[in-house]
Amino acid sequence: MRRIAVTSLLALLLSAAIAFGQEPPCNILRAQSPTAIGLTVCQTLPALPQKGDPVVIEAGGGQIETKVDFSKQLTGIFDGQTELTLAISEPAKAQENMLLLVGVQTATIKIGATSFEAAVQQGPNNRNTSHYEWSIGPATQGNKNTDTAGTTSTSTATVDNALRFRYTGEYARGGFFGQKTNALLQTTASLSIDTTDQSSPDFIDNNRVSVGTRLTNLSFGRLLMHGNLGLEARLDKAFHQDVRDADAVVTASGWVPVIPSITLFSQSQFIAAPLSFKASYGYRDRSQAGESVKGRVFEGSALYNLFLFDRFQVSFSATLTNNDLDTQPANTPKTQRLYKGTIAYLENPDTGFKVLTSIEDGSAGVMLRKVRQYFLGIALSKIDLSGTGGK
Amino acid sequence: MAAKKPGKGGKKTAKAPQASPAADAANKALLAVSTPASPDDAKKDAIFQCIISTFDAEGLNHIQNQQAKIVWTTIDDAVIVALGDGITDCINSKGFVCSPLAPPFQFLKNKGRVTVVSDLIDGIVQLVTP
Repeated sequence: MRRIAVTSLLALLLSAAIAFGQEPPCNILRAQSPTAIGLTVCQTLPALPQKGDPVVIEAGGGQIETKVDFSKQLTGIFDGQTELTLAISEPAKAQENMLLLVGVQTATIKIGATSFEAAVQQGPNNRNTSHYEWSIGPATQGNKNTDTAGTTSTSTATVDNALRFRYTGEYARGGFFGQKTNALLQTTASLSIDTTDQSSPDFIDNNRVSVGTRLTNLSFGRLLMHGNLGLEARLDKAFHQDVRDADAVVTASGWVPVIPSITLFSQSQFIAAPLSFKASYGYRDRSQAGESVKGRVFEGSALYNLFLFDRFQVSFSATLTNNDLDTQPANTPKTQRLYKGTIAYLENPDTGFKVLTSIEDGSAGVMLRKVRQYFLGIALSKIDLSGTGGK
Repeated sequence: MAAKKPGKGGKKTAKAPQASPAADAANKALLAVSTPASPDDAKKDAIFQCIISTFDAEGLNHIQNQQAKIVWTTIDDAVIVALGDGITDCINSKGFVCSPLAPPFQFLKNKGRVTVVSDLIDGIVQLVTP
């Protein structure tokens, strides 16, 4: 019965993700200055707009009238794109017009008889963002590891393969729950699902919903860039075990540019994000098998990229969780470590790196048993059931 | 007294140095493959310097040469916008006019592409005037 319920839930999540996972418009619009708007068009236009041609932008319940100031059909890496710079027709209305583009996700562009949608790209200091990423594919159990972290128990696993579903999404708005607007403050809500269709505890089963507020874009030279510091309330739940964590924590995250990504055994250097980290510390209330225990918890994770032999991207991530929960059941670990390695291959620069496989080893969060699990991303890309989006 | 024949007994004039046949051939080969400096060279140099400084400023690797490859998918969207705006402003500050680069950079990320810096420079040149 429980298995049917979980499978039904996964099917529901998958259908919702497919519906939600539609690609955003590949045309991108951006307010560049108080009177100029940049527009990248990736679809074929009947004719290249010429300087002075009128272009109407419908966004935020209003219309912005512009004229083409620059237009070019691009080649090379931007092949297939038409780049337009649009000037506001009535400069006196420029400020009023630009406000229509604040906080909206899409706009309708009308050039002559042609009409199309464009994603509205917000500035680097924009605090209204949303993004999501999901994937589905076969997961293979590396071994039937019967050790919990620190104790031993008998494995009840009888399956080696599972269908794994992963989803992460975040919705963020500037200010404190929409009440105060501040250049640095942001309120976020996020959902993370990482589970399988198998009820065995030997597969990953980490699911989290959280709400928080944070200071963004903090920087301390090259020690920390694009950093965040905030407060968060979160709920973790395993679908296949009777464990639930409720946390109230202080969070910190960011890039550490003094530890850049590294390229080895390659003729050319790869440019990528440096070491990044997330950490949290605070109070935890765990409900496990009808018992409730309380205490403090630290959780930290780091991600690092390495490039090898001109073709391979190897990403390492490690998550460490340490708690001092009192009077918890004997098989509940105090310290958990989860390591993940992902290998991607660059066959064609135009399509980028494709994940070949990932390997995860250990446990984290509400997973009380260590797992070793292989995730076959090649199937993921072939069946094309993965998606990302947002803006 | 007979007049001296010109050149005879007079000071020897210095001969212009003559290149050896091998050096001559090498020079001709070099000339054959070299192209005269074009206005695009200055533009490309300015773009390359702007790419290096902006990537440094946003905490990414220091770009050592134009053969480096940018893996856009590892970079957050906010940083993509900051890179596009930073390079646009930098190019404009050098006396050129550059169309907004953040949208085409976001396009490259959305497509999951890996871009060689020299190709990126060639792409940006199309968006820079004069």
